[in-house]
Amino acid sequence: MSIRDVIATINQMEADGIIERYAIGGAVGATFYLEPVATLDVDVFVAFRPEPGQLLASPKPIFDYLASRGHSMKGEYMMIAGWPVQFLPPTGPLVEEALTKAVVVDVEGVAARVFTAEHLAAIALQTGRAKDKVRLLQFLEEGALDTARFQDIVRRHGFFDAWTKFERQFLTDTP
Amino acid sequence: MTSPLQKILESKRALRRELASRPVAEKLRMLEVMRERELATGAPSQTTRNTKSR
Repeated sequence: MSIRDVIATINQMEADGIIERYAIGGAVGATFYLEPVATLDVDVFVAFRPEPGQLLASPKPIFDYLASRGHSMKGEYMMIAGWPVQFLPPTGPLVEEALTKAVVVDVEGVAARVFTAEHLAAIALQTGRAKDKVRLLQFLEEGALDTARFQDIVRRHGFFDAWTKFERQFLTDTP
Repeated sequence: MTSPLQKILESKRALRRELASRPVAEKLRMLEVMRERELATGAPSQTTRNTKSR
């Protein structure tokens, strides 16, 4: 049940050319910057490789690769080292950028690529559910963000109005 | 004057900051323990209570 083993497996997938690039997001990604954020799964964002002769990228090579190494599938998750791991394609320009700008963090000798804190916070703002707002507040309260960098991301991706609304709702005394 | 509630909130904030500052590997191990506990007790995490997190 080790996330470090999950990361090592995904690194091997990348080294074997099954995926082009990956980065950890979601609660596990946030845990790199915040206090541990409870979760039951691991979100891994990947640039899927198109299969030969196919125009659209497919996650099938990932599933085939992992299945051939004894990992089972559970719904939309692959079970790796006891953890359900969900492989997710970038859902838009913000996540594509997050994948491109992801940083490498050492986890006891294993290199983990993870979204930056600013991209995780911007994605939380974009997603906008109650728990995403809580996460964004955690990033802010714990001083985990480079504010200028975060605001630049938010502005460039068209979420400045959402940010202004969030600030008004949660970060000022007068609503 | 600082109210008792403010003191409590500040101490919680300080604990969260202290946890956040721990090494990543340690925090990931804490996640593993939290998940094992949740699975053992059947208590749904925030992830399962709400729509899928990103």
